[in-house]
Amino acid sequence: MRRLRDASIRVKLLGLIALSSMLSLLVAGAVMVAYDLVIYKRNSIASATTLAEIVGSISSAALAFGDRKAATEYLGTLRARRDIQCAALYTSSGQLFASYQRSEQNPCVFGAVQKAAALVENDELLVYHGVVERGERLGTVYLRASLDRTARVLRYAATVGAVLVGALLLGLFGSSLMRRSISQPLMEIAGVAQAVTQRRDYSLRAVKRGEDEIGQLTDAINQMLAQAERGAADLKRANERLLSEIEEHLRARDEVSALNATLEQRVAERTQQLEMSNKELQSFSYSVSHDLRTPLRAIEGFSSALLRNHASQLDTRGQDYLQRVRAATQRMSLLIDDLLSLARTARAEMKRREVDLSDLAQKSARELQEAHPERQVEFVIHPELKADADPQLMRVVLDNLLGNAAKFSGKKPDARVEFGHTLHNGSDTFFVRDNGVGFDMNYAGKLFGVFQRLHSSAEFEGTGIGLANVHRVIARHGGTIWADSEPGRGATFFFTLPATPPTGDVHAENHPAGRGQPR
Amino acid sequence: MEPLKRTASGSSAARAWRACALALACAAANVAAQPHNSAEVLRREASELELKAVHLLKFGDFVQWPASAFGNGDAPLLIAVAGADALAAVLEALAQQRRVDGRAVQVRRLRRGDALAGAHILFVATGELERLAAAQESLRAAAVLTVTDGSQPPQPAGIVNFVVRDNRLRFEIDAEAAEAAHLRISSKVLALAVSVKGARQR
Repeated sequence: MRRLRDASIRVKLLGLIALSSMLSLLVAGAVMVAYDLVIYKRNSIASATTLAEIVGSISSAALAFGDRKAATEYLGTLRARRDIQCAALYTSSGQLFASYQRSEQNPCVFGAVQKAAALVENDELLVYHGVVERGERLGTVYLRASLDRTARVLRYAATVGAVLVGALLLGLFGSSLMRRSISQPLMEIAGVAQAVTQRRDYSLRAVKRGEDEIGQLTDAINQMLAQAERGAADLKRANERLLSEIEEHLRARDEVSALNATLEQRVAERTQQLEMSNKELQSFSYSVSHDLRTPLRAIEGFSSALLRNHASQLDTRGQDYLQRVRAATQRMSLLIDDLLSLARTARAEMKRREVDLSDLAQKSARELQEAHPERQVEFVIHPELKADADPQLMRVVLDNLLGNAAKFSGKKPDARVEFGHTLHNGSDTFFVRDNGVGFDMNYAGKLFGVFQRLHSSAEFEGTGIGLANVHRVIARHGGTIWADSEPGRGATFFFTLPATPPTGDVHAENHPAGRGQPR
Repeated sequence: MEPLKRTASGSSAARAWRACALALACAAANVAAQPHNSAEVLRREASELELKAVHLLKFGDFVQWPASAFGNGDAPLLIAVAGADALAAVLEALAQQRRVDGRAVQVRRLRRGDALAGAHILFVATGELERLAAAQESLRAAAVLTVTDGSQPPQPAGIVNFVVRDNRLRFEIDAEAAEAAHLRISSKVLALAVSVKGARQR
């Protein structure tokens, strides 16, 4: 059985109407019946008493003149009254004079006359009424009327029942109207809500039928739907945006991964190409340097023999020319040496071990002093400076750095070159410092390039290969080199030699951004 | 006049006796069938005179005299009886204890030579009917309810004339005469009458 809660509003309203009308009708019916019974009794008594009076009045002469026939006839007229069961006339002395009885089935018992009164006995009304003419009591009328209140109550109940049925029918009719004005709109709203839920179509709207509570409900739901529609639209736009962004990202990722895939290949290819070209270049420069040396030696040997053996046959000008030839060949020899050194440092196999840099620096300084006795340079070498490196290559580094320092400070009377150790950003760093001419930091980028010079060869001799060579050695050790300077205030070259060398033997052909001074 | 009187008297007596005997028989039958009614039946049987006397008195209840008929409010109702002393005696006895419409009742026995007029109710025995005939003109406009006992044409009859029908004392009423005498007789009484002379169409 369905619970009341699940019943439709129409049924509920109908039930409410039916219940209330039933209750009110029942109460009203009960009150009416009770009231009616009282009134009915009173009216019955009044009616019967009046009837008794009329009968008495009509019969008074018959009673007076002892006309039983007339009296009986008069009483017989009571047949018109169905409720009168028995009637009788008594003489003034109390003798039964005439009688009337409605039906044989309900025989009347005419007892002794009683004084005028109306009394109710067993749903029957007994009336005794005096017959008086001109103040003379002629006798008594007796009436017995059936009240039949049970039948009356039943009749009332039947009426109330009929009204109840009518009210229910009216209620059904009313509920069909209500269905139009209450249930129908509610059902429509429910349908819209359901459609919205199922189809997610927020553009649906409930149709408003009136300004009642249901109308307000319709408005509220429509407003809700409008908001939901706006929210859904926003959400949709955001989703679309997100989706396009995701697609873009995916595309970018694909591109990147494709690029990565080719990049590795390209890097490998380039590296190979680079290695090949490096090797070709090195072998080329080595063979060129080596092959150049032979004719150069011939030029130098024969020009010096010419000068030694045939000087008398040459005038001063000729001798001067020969001297210039020799100087040029010596410079060229130096250049070839440097180029060969550069090629060597690139090609030579690196054998790292613990190297006493202080010792190497001492040797280098000593050789420099012997080579250039004209320079008044003080060498300050910090002791016990050690590193894990190739000693041959480190000698090249120190020869070049100390040589440069001495060269660019040698013209000063208090020239000073210092080789030491310091900490730069927490890592071991060696430095070579001089108090020479220095250089402009704007050209620091050119310091470590081959054949790059910041000063003219007339001012300071040099091939422009030294620092490139140094940079290559430091790079092969996995370290870095840079310089710090200011024109006229000396220069400092820093380099690091990491204890753990990188796995690969890096050929530093490109020129990293360093600072320093090419010579 | 005499034979007429005799005839009338004789027939009246015979009728009375016959009525009485029948009444007795009826009473005997009725006693067995309906013990209720036995007392009244016996009483009726006991005295037709008394019945007539009672009737005369009862007419006082159902007849309205013009106000001029009574001298004042307390004036007694006068019943004159002509030629029936026995009835007068019974009437006198009854009148002692009766009042009609608040008035005392006086009974007057009329001797020969007494004027018939002057009473409210005048009972004329059958033997005195010629007197009634003689006084008819003088009584016509007087407010007197004349009562005769079994008068038959061509003898004059009063406004009320006792008759016996079906063994019961009944009466005829001359409504025309009553109207002429300015008497208003209750319709209830008219309804009980054996016959009513002159339709009361007013």
